[in-house]
Amino acid sequence: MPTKCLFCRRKYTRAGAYEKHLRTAHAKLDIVLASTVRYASPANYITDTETSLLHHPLVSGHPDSDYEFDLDPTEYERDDDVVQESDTEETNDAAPSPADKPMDYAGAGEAIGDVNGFEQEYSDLCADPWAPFTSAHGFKLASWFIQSKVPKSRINEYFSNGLGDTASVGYGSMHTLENHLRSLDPYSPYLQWFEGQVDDGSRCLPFFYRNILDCVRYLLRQIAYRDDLVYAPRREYDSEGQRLYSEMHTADWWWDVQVQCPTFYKNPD
Amino acid sequence: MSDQTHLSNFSGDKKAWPVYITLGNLPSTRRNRPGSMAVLLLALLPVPPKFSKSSSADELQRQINADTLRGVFELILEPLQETALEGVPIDCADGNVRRCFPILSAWIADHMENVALHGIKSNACPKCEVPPAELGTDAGTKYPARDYASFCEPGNGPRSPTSKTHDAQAPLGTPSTTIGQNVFHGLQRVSAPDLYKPDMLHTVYLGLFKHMMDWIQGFLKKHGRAQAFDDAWKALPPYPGFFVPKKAYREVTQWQGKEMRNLGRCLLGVLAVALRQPDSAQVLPFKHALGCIRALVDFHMMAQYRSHTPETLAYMEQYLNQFHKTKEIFLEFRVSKRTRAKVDEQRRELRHQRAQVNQPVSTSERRRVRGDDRAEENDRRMDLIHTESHFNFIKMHLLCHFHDHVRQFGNIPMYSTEFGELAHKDQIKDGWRRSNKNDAARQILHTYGRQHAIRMRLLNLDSLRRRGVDLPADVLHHLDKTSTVSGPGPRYRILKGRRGDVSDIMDFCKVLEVSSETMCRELIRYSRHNLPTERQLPQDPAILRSLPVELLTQLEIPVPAFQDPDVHDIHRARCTGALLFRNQASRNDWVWVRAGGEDMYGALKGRLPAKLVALFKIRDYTCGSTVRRLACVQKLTAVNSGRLSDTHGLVTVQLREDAREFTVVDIGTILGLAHLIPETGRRWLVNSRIDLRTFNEIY
Repeated sequence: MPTKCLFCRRKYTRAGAYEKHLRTAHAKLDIVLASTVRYASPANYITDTETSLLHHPLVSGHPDSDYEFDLDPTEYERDDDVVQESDTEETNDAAPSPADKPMDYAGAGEAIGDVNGFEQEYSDLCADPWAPFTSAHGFKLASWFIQSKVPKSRINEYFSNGLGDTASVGYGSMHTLENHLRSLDPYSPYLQWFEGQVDDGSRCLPFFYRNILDCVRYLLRQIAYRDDLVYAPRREYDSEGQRLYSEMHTADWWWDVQVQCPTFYKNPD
Repeated sequence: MSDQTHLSNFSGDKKAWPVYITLGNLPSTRRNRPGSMAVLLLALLPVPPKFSKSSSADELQRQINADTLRGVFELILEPLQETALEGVPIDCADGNVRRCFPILSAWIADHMENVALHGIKSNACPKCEVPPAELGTDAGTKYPARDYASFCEPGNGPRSPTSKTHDAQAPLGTPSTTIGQNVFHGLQRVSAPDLYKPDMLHTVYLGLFKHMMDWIQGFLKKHGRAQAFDDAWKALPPYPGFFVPKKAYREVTQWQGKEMRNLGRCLLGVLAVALRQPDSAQVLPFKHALGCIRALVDFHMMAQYRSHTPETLAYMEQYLNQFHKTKEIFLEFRVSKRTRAKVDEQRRELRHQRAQVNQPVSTSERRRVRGDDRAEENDRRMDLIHTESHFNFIKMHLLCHFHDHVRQFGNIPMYSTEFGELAHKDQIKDGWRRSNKNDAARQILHTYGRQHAIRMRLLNLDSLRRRGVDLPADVLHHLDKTSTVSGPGPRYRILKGRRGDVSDIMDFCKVLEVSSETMCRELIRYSRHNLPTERQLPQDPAILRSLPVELLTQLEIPVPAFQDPDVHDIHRARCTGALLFRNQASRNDWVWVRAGGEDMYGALKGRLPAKLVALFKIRDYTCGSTVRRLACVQKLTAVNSGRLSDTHGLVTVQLREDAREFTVVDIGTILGLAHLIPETGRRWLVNSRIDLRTFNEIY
């Protein structure tokens, strides 16, 4: 359990940090220091294990196997876990100070409408996960071909030698396989390549580029990132009320730029 | 609603200059994970040919190149111009449409590439207008942000290296821009100086650490400690994620990023061992040198934090200032060729002068004069070196932008160039290898396009599965095999590697070469101190000896990763006894053992390092057939009650003469692997810089 500082509202889980805090913030209280620090140290570890051994019936090993596992996950739980638990507790119920709560930028990341046909697309993917391949086998085979980098000529050979069943797989050559792959990604139009020419006076060199905005659209649209995407800057604080800088959205730049941008916008339709 | 576009760019292979794009909206842990597919190739550019310097014919060519480069980037970044101002509705993955402002916010590249794209001189900082002569001064002074606009105004005779209309700040009066063009200038909502990202790999590992090792080698040679350094270097013990050097430092010919990272983790300890027990003339220089290295190593440790508070940032700044304050000790090893030539010339002049003065007659007189001459020569040499040498190189300066950068853009590791090099391998190099090297660009793009489609589908399906969507069984089965996102590993300690030759305490003692009396005594002591009365091991040695015992060689300890409680690193503590490990020497690792409350043993906070002697299980028939998982360890004690040393800031531990042969502990009290650097036979230094976790715990 975190120990609350006797003289202010901060909380500490580690004795070292608490001691330091006492020394700096409450320097005048030298006399009490010696007695308070002792409370902060967590319960003796050895007694901890002792009780855990008591409470959990020990799993008997398998003396015949080479490798042995302790099947009971709680058996050797470290005290670090206990500290983490109390950390979360601290942010959840205790410590009513508003500084602890992360502050989101109001209005940022507001939805202005629904994506057309989103539900449809979602359920299509669930119902037919291997589309446009006709079967799971077809997809897996293609996936194996591509990911293990089998050359085109070998793939053609595979089919021409009759090793694969063209009917059940759904394609019979590299050419048809590629047609499948092209329609595999519904957003591939976003990733289209454009070609440009550079003339540096002596030579003419081609270069390739994509539309940068379409790349952004593509990435934002992927279901894979759905749960991870962050749409708004936020200010985070630790249990001691100190500002935390970690990911990009928790730092100042995004917030500052957000202030400059028009904040709230409802699409008329 | 805004949205960050985050571009990165690498020119490794001379054949290709890929530019990548990814999103700042994705947290870096997700974005930079291999196989996350979040880094898209945005463009594949031709590499402009290199020029020899100061050739006038090439000047025009260089000008044209700079113009084309600017043109190309204008074309690529053009779609951002309007949308960054007004925003654009974009479909998002959760089915909502959001108004997005895609803004270029970071450009990850090494320094030379920044130089090319920002159009600055190679000794200029892309972020601020620091004059070249002050690059090595400490971080206290702030310089105004670089004003790229002034170089692009048409009236200023721009695009010529000779234009001197600006930089009123620079005392030397030379603008630090060469061609006066910044590719990124004029982008909406983008401030070009802010695009520069600090880069651990090139600035710290390949930059400062490399320089620093030169100084240290010079320093060690001067004080005759080079051999001691090599010896300490070779005696480093293993640690998870740490590559144990097989050669002496001086034998290694090539140093790459990976090796330099290794070096940063052990340098302070090795140096502290090499510089132990200085004589009276060496005390002060050694202390300064260690202080300087300590500050830089600590700075680089802090820079790796994934989450900062104002407090940690203040520490970072403080370490950097400390480094700047103490770096003078290495100044004499920063001698340039030009200075050396000057020194030689000075000496020649001095000798010449003396030859013209009449020599005194007596031998003793001559000896005295010669001694004086030598002292004078030395003094003047040092004076000259100290006035001529300097620390003014660009990587020295770039460090001072680190802490401000964290406040603005978040942690530093996420902007590392390494992640781009990963993408490089996947997206470019594989394709290049498979192409026929003729019109390769098209083939590279094509090859990767196919891979991308397949992997993206698998990723999407995998995310559906994690959301608990009902998918056909064969899909789940396939995803289980291919998924790149592995679930959390086991959270408990596992004993592995049973040895077949041990079945009871007598065998056990024979293998360990201890007497069975000692063993029984220790076991009983353990059970008396740690187990409740009714569950204690039998007190009678005869019964104790009959209990079945298994001896094991490996203990897997899950240790929570620093600043990321969901991830656990597995420490594998090996204890092979006298057996060989992988046909090399036997391994009996150092581990941390919980030995008391947090307030004990000073900086060690209640933990003591110990050497594993044996890992074993014992089955207690007398008490419901319970299995006890135990370890024999040899505990060390902290010297100076665990206080950090003033000179090197590390804790020394020792094996006391009167120490018990071993003690028996529960494997639950073993907290993880420890990294100890041997100092003398019975003394070790605790290397707390080995990883961030240890660094944060021992201070």
